[in-house]
Amino acid sequence: MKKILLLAAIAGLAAYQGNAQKLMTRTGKVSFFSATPVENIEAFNNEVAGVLDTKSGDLMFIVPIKSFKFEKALMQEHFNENYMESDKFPKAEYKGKADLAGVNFTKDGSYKVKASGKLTMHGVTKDVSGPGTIVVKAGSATVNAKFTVNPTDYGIKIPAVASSKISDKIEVTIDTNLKNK
Amino acid sequence: MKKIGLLLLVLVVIAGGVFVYLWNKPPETVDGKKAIEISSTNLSRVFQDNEKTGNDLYLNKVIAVNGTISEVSKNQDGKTVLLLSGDDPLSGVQCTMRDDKGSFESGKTVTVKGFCNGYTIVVLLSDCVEE
Repeated sequence: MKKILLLAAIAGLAAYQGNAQKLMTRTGKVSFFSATPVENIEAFNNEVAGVLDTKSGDLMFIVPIKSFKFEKALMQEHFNENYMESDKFPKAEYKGKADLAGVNFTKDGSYKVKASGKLTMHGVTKDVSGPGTIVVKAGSATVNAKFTVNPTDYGIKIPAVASSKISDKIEVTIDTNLKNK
Repeated sequence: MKKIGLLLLVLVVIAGGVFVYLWNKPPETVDGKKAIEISSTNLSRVFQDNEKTGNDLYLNKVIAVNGTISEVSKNQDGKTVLLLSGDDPLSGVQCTMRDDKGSFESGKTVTVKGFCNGYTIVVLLSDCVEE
């Protein structure tokens, strides 16, 4: 049974390489920035998995929470242990659809797109929609988008002592290069 | 009385120093930490069979993973990324190297030590160094 599944998976992989309509990565980049008068907090993640179906516009990102790197150990620790509870919720996921009507994946250029979908983070799912751009270059596509996230919308409690340091409008930046694999 | 004042001052300075040290401490590295040793095929199988079990056993732990390199690439920030084979072509362990030390090529066997960040479509290790 396992062998059959494996063969099916390989066949699937071959088909998927054959029609070349899925662009993907395992090393996508997502960062976030929280700005307050007290301090700015920034973190980068280079281990995001992303898949874009260039025909249907189906778009998915899997964001491992532990992969966010901070400048300071304490920030990283507080982020993981107190806020995101990454032992309990090790990843965030975005599943959506991009309107790719105006995008030509065979022609280099920067295309404006709109995406709508659902972001699941810290065990809470919310609609996240907005504009972005897709930069096509030599068959690869870089998805760029920015949106803001309010931690309390995702059930993340920030104690009063820390509330002056953490913005309620955290800016999330997606800058993920997807390739034909 | 003066002595107590001086002592208090010294304590405050020490406490302040400790605070500044802790506050500015860079994120920890795997250097000198004891690692769980496992092969890349076994590690990826555990996560593929049951992601929760994988996370319970390995998430945030220091892992020394041994396996065959199936792909060498650079991430968007120029860091070297190795993919170590899992037991089918769709799985594996992705290791983001800390620096540019070492030369890697597909087909070679390596042992790489890093922090486990969980699972997306592959198992993730970061801050990796070659052992």
